[in-house]
Amino acid sequence: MRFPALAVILALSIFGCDSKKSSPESAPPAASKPTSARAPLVDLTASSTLAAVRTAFNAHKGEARFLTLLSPT
Amino acid sequence: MIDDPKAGSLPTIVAWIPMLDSDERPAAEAMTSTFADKLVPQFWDGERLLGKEVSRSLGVDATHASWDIYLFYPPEAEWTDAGLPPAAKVIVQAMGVVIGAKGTLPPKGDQSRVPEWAQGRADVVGEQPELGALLAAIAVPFAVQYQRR
Repeated sequence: MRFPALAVILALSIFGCDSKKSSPESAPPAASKPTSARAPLVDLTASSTLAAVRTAFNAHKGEARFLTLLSPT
Repeated sequence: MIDDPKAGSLPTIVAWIPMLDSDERPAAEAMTSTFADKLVPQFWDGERLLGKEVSRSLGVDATHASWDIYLFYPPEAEWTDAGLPPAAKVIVQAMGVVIGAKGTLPPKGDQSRVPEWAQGRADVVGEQPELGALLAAIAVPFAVQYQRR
């Protein structure tokens, strides 16, 4: 795992959390609704296509966004 | 860590993708704790569907999944039925260096290290140990440029 990169991603993620708190009218997608202290890990499968991540991506249309794909190890 | 608060103004999506032998879903589940108190959508791309969609969006061989990749999208970007739009700025770790799509960051270092699949599309922009700094160099001005008014 690339720790410096994760640190930057953490920094990037801070406002995303705050913006949802301050903008209740822009409801977050189902995939990003927390059921606990953090968002669940959502499976992308052939049967579900990429609908969940597409919804999450488009939930913030009108804002700049950041997407990353990482190996977990 | 970025110390400029403006850099934290980008909604973030993280996808974990199995590319190494040790990349099982439990490892991704463990990594979700990295964002323990943040509402960052996190996905397990176990079939590499998103990785391949990212490759397609970048105009590279979509039979190969993209990974260790960092993509920045402008506010107008929308994922339509046509697929994920191309990112405005992209960097990726490849062949021991960090390469960036043309215009992402200034070229730096030995440009002969650009992998064959990226030649003409990307520049070497730094070494892998510089990844965090390179991300910050993109994120801060990008966030400031599109800061909500």
